[in-house]
Amino acid sequence: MSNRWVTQIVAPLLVLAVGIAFWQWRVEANDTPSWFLPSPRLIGQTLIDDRRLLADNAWVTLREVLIGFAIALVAGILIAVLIHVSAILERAIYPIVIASQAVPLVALAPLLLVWFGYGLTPKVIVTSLVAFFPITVGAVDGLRSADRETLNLLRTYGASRVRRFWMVNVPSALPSLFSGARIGISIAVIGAVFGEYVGANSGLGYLMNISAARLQTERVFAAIVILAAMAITLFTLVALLERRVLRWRRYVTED
Amino acid sequence: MALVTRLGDETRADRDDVALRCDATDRPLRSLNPQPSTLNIRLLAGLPARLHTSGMSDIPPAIELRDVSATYVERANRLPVLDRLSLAVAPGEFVAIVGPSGSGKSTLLDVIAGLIEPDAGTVAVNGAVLPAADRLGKSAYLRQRDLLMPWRNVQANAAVALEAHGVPRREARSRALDRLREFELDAFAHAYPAQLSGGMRQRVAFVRTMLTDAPILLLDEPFAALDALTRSDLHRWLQDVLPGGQRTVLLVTHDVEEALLLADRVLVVSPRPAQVIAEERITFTRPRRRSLTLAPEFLAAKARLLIHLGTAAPA
Repeated sequence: MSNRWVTQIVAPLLVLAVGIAFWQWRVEANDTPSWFLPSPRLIGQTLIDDRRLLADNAWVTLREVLIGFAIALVAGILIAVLIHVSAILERAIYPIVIASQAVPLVALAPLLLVWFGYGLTPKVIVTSLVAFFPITVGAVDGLRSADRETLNLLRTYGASRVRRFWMVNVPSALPSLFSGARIGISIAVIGAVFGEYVGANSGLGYLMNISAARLQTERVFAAIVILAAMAITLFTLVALLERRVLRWRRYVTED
Repeated sequence: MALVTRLGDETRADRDDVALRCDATDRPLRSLNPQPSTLNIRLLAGLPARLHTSGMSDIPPAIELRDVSATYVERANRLPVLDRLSLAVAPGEFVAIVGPSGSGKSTLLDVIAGLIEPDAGTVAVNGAVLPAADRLGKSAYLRQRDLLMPWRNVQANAAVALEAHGVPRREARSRALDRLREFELDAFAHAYPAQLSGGMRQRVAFVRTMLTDAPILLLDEPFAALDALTRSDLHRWLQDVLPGGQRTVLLVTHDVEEALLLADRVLVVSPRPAQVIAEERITFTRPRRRSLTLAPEFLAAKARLLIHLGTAAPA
């Protein structure tokens, strides 16, 4: 137990601490101007001083991420089920799903701004658009991974197609759906920030944009710290939920 | 560190009473075709199926196949697997089918279970000729792979057949637990399949199969993937939990000894396309223990079957 705690928590923190100490030392030794590279101490100070500003903008971004991810999850699962149940729908929908990822967001985001303005909507669209792809692919692969012989076994027990789907396909899909969701939630954060970068009046992306322009580099770094913490927390929450739901996997993977 | 506990499968030595209990007379095998793969095989196809039943002529056979042909289609290849195969199994009878690997034995069970509709011929269950869709649910299938769902614990896995039928989950699980108790597996009710050994998993799969209450059991090499000790353990277990005459059992195997230990009758099938080329009635008293395999009568029957399988030279 303690061995695991050391490797999983203490070791990465130690590496991080050494890195930060080195950074602090170089900035102080070189007398680097803070607009060029702020010291970790200054960033920490900014996190405390600007906590209201950062918290308000972080909340805006978090809301975009959560709404966008929720839409991506629901849409991704629905599309995956449609693709799974019908070969015709698969041929009709799957290319569009893939094409949606080929559309460069750099081109799309300004258009969304024109159509939906500076509010929440364009960010949620960008966020759900990036998050839904890994979720859909994960769900489709998962539904497909169901064991044929097990499905046949249920047929010999007289199970209907719907019941076979719920009893075999859905549980088989969960591991890769969760993998997709973990990727999805991480890139949803990037999607929201990108949406804010293109045009917004609040949010961490917006804050970083204007702070950089004003050479308030320590504030940019403070926002990055918050974003990283947000992404790690959301990822961890999904991973914890996954561990709870897929308890049985512990025995399979440790075998 | 691995926290996985290996449950069950005590690799105990066979503690059979040494006394041999067999009454089989060394009578010759009813040879239908001593030289398989000649045109003479056709003779059998023409015989009325009733000829190969156990003689209870008034009761319709539990399973009756008449002139069943099936092809295995894989892309452009069409492989004939069953060629006008006929057989009948009486209610309560335990019939083993032995044949070379890839001879279409599994296809035969798929046909009976209703997973495959044969190209030609009819399949009757309890005297009624049924199409494939109506045969589904009439028999319980146990395969070489236990097909336990890794996300369900033992109790939930045992309940799968009931839940597939639409029995409410709580009732299904509690009935499963009762049955696990009966088979003395209730100690593992909350273990996941990955925590169990192969032999234990197959036992759980067997309980799941028994819970279907289907009168016909189809066993497709259920012990083939297990080590010899575990297999022998399960042979004994199966005889204890499956008292003769209650269920109609069709066992597919390539283990001649297994067939002789478990079955009332052994059918030998030819290489693909499969046809029944010989049969042997087994009358050793039950329960048949491992020590029986050393009895001269047993060895004689084994030799006869092996000759028909083409794996032993005629003595």
